[in-house]
Amino acid sequence: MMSRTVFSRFGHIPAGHRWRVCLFIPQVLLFLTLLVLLTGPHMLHAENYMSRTMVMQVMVADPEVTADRMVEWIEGRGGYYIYKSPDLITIRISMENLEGLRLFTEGEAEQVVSVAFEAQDLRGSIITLQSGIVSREEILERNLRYLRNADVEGTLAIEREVTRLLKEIEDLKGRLRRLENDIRFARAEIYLSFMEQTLPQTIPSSFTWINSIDFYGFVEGGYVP
Amino acid sequence: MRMSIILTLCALLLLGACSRVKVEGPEGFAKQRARGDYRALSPEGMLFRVRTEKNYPRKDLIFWKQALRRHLTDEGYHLLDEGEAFSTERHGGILYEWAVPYAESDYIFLTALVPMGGRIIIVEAAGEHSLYALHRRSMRKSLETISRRF
Repeated sequence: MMSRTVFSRFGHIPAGHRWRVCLFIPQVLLFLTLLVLLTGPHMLHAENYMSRTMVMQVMVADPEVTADRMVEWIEGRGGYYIYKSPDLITIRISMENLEGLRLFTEGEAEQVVSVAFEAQDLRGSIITLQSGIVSREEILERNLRYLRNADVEGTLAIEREVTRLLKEIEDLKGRLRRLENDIRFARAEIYLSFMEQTLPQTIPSSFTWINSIDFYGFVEGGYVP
Repeated sequence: MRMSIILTLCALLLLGACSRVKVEGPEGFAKQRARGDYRALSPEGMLFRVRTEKNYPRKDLIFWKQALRRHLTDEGYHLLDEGEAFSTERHGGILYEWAVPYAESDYIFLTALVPMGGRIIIVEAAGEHSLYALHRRSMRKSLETISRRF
């Protein structure tokens, strides 16, 4: 009864082909599901080719204490530091915690001198490395096949080639791992003091009173702590 | 008689040139005797100075704040933030804070200006950044009390 009701909607389709129509719909749905499953991860991966860097300059009351507090904060969030001194701390932290790190640093600072973000698309470099690995692995496989039928001299030549290829593959894989780590972890360089080494210079102004504004003249005119 | 008139005029001119600014100094600062300027020192010796200059060519705050910012930036001072506007009883002013390396430490140099008719009130203060942070609020409050004494 029910199938008759369903089929009544396909009245214009010949009776012998109605089952085919009913099977076609699930097939389309299955195809679309597979399409989403196959392309989905690639689409997500494509968005994650970006490597991000944050450079901050802050002034803090006690740089050593602040550096320790920052290390504690980042380690509590799965990050780590690669360099720490009273002047500079270099941090690797997951992308999602980068904004939190900026806010935390601002909270610790007496004065934020500057904040700069940089982003780099590593897609090209990663694809180049991946294709380099694949091509070398193919040559390696071919060389190993030749090895079975090679004489002593040929075996030695192939061994040299295999060693070179293995070294190159390991090198490429290492570079790929480093880039993947750059995508997974943002890099933050936090200068805990004003690192500007160039001192202001006196440039004459056309306005007389502006020439009288001078930090060094001001501080050296009286005792400045 | 003529001599006494001249002397009186000279004295008036001298007074006018010297005491052109009135300000309530930052809390906790000691006022220092100074000719013309207002000077106050923190217990650590940090100087807060208010002085006046002739507003020549006579221009408004928008003009002078651009001129000052441009000049100090060109000289190599590093501006912190974008400057902070403030108001005195009758006039508007601008406060700029600059980071400057000095004596192996980081200093902050405060420059504020308030054009008041034919004169420009200029405020300067500088100190090691932690010390500056300690007195910043009181100095900021003091800026709003600036007025001209005629």
